[in-house]
This record gives sequence, structure tokens and C-alpha cells, in this order.
Amino acid sequence: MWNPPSLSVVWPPFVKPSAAEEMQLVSLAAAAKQAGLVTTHMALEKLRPIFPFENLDAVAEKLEEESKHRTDVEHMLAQAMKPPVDDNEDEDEDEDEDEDAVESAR
Amino acid sequence: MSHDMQHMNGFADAARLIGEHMSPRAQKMLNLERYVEGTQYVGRPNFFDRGVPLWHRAPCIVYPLAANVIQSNTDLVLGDARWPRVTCRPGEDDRDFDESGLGLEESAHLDKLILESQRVSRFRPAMREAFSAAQGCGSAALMFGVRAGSLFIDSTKARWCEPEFHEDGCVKRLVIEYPYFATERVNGSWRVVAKLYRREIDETKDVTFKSETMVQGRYASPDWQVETRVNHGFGFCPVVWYPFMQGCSVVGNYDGHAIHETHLDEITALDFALSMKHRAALYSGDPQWTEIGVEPGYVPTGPGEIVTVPATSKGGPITSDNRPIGEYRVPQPKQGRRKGPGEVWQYESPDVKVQLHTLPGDALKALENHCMDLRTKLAESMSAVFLDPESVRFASALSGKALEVIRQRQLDRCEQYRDDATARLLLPSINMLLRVAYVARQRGNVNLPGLAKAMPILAKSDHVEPA
Repeated sequence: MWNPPSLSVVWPPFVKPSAAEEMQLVSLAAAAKQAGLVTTHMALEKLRPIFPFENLDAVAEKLEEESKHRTDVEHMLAQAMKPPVDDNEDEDEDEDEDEDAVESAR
Repeated sequence: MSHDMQHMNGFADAARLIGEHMSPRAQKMLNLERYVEGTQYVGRPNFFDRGVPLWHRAPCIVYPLAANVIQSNTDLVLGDARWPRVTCRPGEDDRDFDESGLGLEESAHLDKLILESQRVSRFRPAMREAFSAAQGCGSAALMFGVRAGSLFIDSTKARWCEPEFHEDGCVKRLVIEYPYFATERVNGSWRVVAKLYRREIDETKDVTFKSETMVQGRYASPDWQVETRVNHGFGFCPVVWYPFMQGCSVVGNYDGHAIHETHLDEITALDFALSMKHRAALYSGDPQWTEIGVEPGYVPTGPGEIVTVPATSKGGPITSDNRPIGEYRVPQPKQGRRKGPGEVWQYESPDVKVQLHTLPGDALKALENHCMDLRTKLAESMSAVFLDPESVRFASALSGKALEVIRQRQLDRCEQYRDDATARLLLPSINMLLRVAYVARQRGNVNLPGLAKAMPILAKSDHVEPA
């Protein structure tokens, strides 16, 4: 007896949206997400016809990973861009303070 | 059947035997197929033959409406840009839900195997053929197997088939039997004979029998001789039967519904209307002259040539394999009359009157409207939306969404066709491919990339039948 594997047939839309229509849909989803009106899942579901995917959870998870990675990279870049602490400058400041003390004593 | 056969000895007897052999079901399906092929009027007198009533003649314009609708539906449902993806959802791990379910990696591999099996077996053309054939006559039959190490899918005409089914709807046995015309040399001369072909496919073997020459009163139960026998030993009948939009049906009926099965009269009406419009257009384009006050046969010009049109066995121009079989010519008068620019007709008698009878400018309008009306009604009945040149010009500037709205009626119907094809054609066919590949691999006689790795996955589907 053959008990076939559970298969699904995924049908694409009959009419492919134009580039302008796709752009509108992407903008709409992005704007709604940014305004906090929809969840990531809802926005992704809206975009499914344009960017077809199998598993919504997997895509959302991947997006979160990428977002976290981007945040980490940005943090690292920010750290890297931060000017290094100059030890000599501290010493100079100390020297200046000493000189001021001597001056005031006179 | 070759057209040449119609003029050979024995054709009438062979045609009668073939006609008598066909079951009412086969005749009904053949009639439906003829309306798709545009051969439904073959055998009737010519449309311009005034010796028979108009309605008994063959329309000279045969509009392929059913074929156009079928093609349009097939493009919309199984066109390249709309081809569906068959998947076992590789993003989901089913093992928590079902212990025999597939894990992520297994699902991903099976998806690849499905794609590969589709590629090697010519899955797309086979599905399109079956989908079109089923729309045209109600059903389609597909046969699966391994040939020279590769998976294959063959199709055959449903009207030739008599399937038997298991309780679960799978095919248990398929008998393919049909009569056909052949030529044989008898006593040194060629004649047409009717032959009978038979093939039986069941769960263990595929047997083709030697074609039998049909003889009156004997063909009902011929003494069949085995010609080829393949012991496929699959353990199941490798056949998928696709009844198109079968719906609720009486017991014993295994056929679906052709898209035009209830519109044959309207298609005929449209063909007659188009033919009459064509005839009227010819008369309008070449109006009738009358002459009053001249002797019959009088020619008011120098002698002209009588035009003859050669008739060929297959129609069209004479070629090496399309020989002339006669000619059409005007029986009267004996002498031709010159007609054309610069040709002056001269009459001696001052009492002669020459008149040209032309049709008014809107003479074709009523016929035109009638044709459009019939075509619209038929398209509406079959839920087809034709984008005519006029609408296409308009549609080219439209967005995809607007086009979708215009074709909504047909798209709604095609959504139903998609569901029907998913359940009765695509999934059964994919399962059959996988099952054939699995069994053939166990014997080591199939080449399918990825199959070896997929065998443990497919083994989960292979259960021992409970006693």
C-alpha cells in the first residue's frame, strides 16, 4: 500500500503585477510596518506574491538574524569610529594642573 | 485515416464495421473531440451545394471556438508563467505532528527529486496534454513507467479506454481498445480494412495484442494473440485517470464533463451564421448583373476564358502527393464573357437594359451582429474572455490588476479548474512518478538523480497492506 508523502501544489497568481504595482505594495507594507500598524509576519504575508517563500516563520527568523547582525556590525563600526583615548593628553593635562598649582602658590 | 483511403475499395465496409464497434460513450466523446478539431461537419455536402437544404450542408467557416477556449484555459492554468510548484514544504518539520512525516532536510531533498522526476518524464507537456484532452472530451488517461532507464508519461485517448477502479479511486486495470483503418493487399490490389487494437495494463503486466482484422460478426470476441508482454510487476496499475470537473455523477460513470458538451448546437449556429455572412460578403463583393432584352447566352464582349478550379484529394493546390480528382467549372455558357477594367460590354439593341444588383451598405450588419451575439453567448457560457485585437490595443496600456479584473470571469472558473487539476491530475501524477521510481530503483533499472538518497524517504510511504 502506498501512503504518499504530504504534498502541496502552490499556484502563482494568474496575472503578474507590474513593476509599479510591486513597488506600491512594497512601500505600503514597509510604511505600515514602520508605523507599527502591522507585525512583521503580516507585512511578509502581504509581500508573498512578490517575494515567494515557503515558510513564513523561517523568513521572519532569518530577517531577525539579519537585523541583529546589522545592529552588531553597526555597533562594532561605531566602536571602531570612536576616537582612541590619548594617554599623553592625560599626562599633559596633569602637567598643566601642576603648573597651575605652582603658579597659584607663587 | 488518410483522406486517400476514402476513394479506395473496402472503405465503406470498414467504416461501417468501425462505426458499429464504437460504444455510445466512445461515439459521444468522438463527437466532442470533432467539435474541438473542427471536423464535425466532415461528410456533409459543400456549403455552396444548392442541391441540398442549407442546414444539411457543411458550413464553409468552422470557427474553432472550443479549441480556443481550451487553449486559453490551459495557458491560464498550466502556462509556463503560471506553472504550479509541487512541494512537500521543506520549511516545515512534520515529525512532531506525524511520526512518519518528513524532517527539514528530507523535505528539501524530496522537493529536488520531484523537480528532477518532472524534468526527465516530460511532466509539463504531459500534464498540458491531459488537461486539454480532458476539457475536449471529458477525460484523459496517463500511463507511467520506466523506458530505457528513464521515467516516462504517455497519454492515450480516453474514448479508447475502459478503466476499472479500486475503492480508493486508483485505477486497477485499463483496457485500451480501438478500431482503425488500415490498408491490405488482397489478391494483388489494395483495399481498406478495419482493424482492432487492444492493450491491457494491470497491476503486474502490460500486454499488447496483435491487431485483428475486423470481420462482420466476428470482431466482438476475437481470438487475441499476444504481441508484446511487459511484466512490470509494480504491484499497482501505473495509470492515472483524470475526469475533468466530474462533480456528482451516477454510479459507473467515470468520465468528466467537456467544456462544450452542452453548447454544440450554439457552436453549429455560429458556424452557419459565419458562413452565411461569408457568402453574403462574397455576393456583396461581386454583385449580380441582369440583362433585359438580349438573347440568352449573348456575349457582349470578345470571347473570354471559362475559369475552372481544380479539385484535389486533400484540398488546396496540386502537389506531388495531392493529386487532382476533378474540377469545378461553370456548366453554362459555353463561351466566356470578359469582365474587368477596360472591358466594354456592347449591345446592338437600344432596348437592352443592364442592371447591377448591389446589397445595401448595412446588408451584412444583421449577420455581423448575430455572429457577435452568438460568440459572446458561447464565450460567456464557457467563462472565456477573449482579448480581441480591439480590446488588446486597449489592454496593452492596462496594469496587471486591471487585466485581472477584465478576465475575472475566466479566472474565477480557472480557480476551480486549478483545484480540480490539483486533486485529480497533478498530485496523483507526482505520486505515481515517485512510486514508479521507488519500485524501479529497488530493481536497479531507473536512472534518476537524487533517487538513491531519497529511497529511505520514499520508503516511509511504502506500507505493507494490513490483512
